[in-house]
Amino acid sequence: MKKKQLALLALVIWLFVVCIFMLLARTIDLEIFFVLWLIGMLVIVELLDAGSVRPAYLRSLKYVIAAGVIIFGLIVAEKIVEILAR
Amino acid sequence: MKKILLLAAAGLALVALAGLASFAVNPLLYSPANETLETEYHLNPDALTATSVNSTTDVYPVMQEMLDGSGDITMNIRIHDLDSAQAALADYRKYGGNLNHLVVTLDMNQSEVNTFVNSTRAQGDLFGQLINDTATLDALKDLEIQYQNSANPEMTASVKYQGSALRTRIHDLYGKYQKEYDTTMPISTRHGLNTTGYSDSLAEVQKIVQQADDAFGDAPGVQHVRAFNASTPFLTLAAYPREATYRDTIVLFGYLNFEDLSTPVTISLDNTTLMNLSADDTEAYHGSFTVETIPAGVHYLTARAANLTSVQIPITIDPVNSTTLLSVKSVRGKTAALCTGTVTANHPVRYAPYTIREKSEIIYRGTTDGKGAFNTTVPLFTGTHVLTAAFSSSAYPVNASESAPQNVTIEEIPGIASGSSGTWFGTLMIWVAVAVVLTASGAGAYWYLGRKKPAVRADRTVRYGDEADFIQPVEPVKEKLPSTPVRLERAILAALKRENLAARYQKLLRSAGLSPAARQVYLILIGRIAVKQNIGRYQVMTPTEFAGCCTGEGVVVSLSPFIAAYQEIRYNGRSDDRIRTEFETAMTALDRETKGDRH
Repeated sequence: MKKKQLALLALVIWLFVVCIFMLLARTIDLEIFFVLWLIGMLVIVELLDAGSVRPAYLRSLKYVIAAGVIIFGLIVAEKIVEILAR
Repeated sequence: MKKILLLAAAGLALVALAGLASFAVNPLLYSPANETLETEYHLNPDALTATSVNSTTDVYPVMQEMLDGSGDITMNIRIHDLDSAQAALADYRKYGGNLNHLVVTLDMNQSEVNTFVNSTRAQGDLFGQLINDTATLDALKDLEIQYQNSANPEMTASVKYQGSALRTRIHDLYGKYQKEYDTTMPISTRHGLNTTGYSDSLAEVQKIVQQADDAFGDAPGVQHVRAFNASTPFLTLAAYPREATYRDTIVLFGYLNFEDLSTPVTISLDNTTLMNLSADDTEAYHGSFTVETIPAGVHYLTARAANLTSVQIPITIDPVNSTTLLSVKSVRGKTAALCTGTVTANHPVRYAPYTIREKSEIIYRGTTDGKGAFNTTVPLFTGTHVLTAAFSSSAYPVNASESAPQNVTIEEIPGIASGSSGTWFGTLMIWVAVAVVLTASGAGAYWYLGRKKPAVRADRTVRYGDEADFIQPVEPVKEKLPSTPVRLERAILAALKRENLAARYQKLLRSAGLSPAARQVYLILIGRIAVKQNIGRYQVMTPTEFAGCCTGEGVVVSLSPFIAAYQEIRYNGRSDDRIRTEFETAMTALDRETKGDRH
């Protein structure tokens, strides 16, 4: 099984577990879901990145993660605004 | 195996998406259950106050409300005010739900309070049945009078038999209620609750039983029903009342005189099936339906069972006037208005279509909830708007109505969060905080993209044989790795001092053969290039990878034919004179070129 398929499977299982726990807690929070997805992506990409060779898809994923970090920043900024505006 | 795993992954993804689908359209990010503090982002802050029952001191008041509610419900049933009884029962069930929530929250599952909750839940069901039976009892009494007046002995007997069965059922309900009463009363007393209202409820149920006895106490028993048997099968249907309005309950009953009593009786309204009923062992069947989405006018009820059809019973549904109420508030932080309201026609009009209009233009269409209420956010431009809500549907026996116009002024959003203080300093601090966070996240993303385990040259790619993926070759490491090529270079230089490359090659060719000799020469030559171009880990690269790294500035033109010949010898196993000549030519050219580089 290729690393790429293994990574996809791991990510899907991770998101599935997150969804199940959210449904059990009856708390669907898209922001938490997004952050947990980002954490999962970071872990998987770090584990995949062997160092000697780097597939092109891994490079694309890094751009996705960089975009995710910026969105995470927006979420944090929104929370700060929310707290300070109380 | 791979396919199975991929299918499993796809399946898991679909399940996860299905779980999230209901929240995807309109996700509830700030639910009142999870967010107890009011923020700028809550569309309806009033809802937050509705979720504040969570301490032990809340248990006894709720229990007391339920005990008192029992008395109200039974008294309303006894005086035949069934609407009030239904309303009181709805409150009773709401308190029951709250109490159950408290029991779960406070982990009182093993306590007496939990027994109390279970018992009151059963009592709620009994009250519901008692309300239905009382409605049927009233209907039967009226029908009995009608049939007696119209000299219809067959139907009069039918009504009497049903009354008798109903009376028995009410007696059974009383027995069950008394049992639950005996469970609940000691618990209530031990916890110091006032049980006066609850004691009254048992007395009220006794009076309801007495009413049933008074009405049908002299009716013939069930065992006499077969005396009513006729030579040919027949199916009767009676409905009460014959004239109804929105949300009235119409009680249906009749007799199925047929060999197979398990045959379902289908009740139709204007050829549309309403329900299926089953006859009991007394050959009687009964049921009821509530008038909701039935247009105003005369409709015909029919019962069918196997090949039997009853006579058609006309019922008249009268239209009632409705009232639509609307309340509009601007939403903080949004150019939108929060529209809340109700549609009522004596009762709340449930699941009814409504529109919100500005002048004659419809700007929103929606449906009321189960309580006839609506609550929606309508996007609007800044400025003053005059909105009305309207209900109109020919599917309901309810006349159209429109609310009074409501003014709302939508103001421009005063920048991101003017701050609760509203001062320029507060606004500045918020903007600074936002700027810092956004800058930090942007810098983090930039650092992440630039962070390399070994740095990668973006402009160098080598395609592996059949692999679809592009592989990024390894960036030369500038600090630690040069030590290896430097050491190797020293070794090579030492060897070259002793003998030149061609002599060494000839020596190896004679002693070990073409392939090992080519390998030795290859390592020496690419070592020279690696030192020159500062390429690390070249020993672990394939010839193609190495060639891919040797592009751009300082390109070695003789490398390509040398690599081609080397691969033919090493990987294709060729050792003929032709390839040997080719290799030696390429080797000489590369040797000359790389020597030149070194000087």
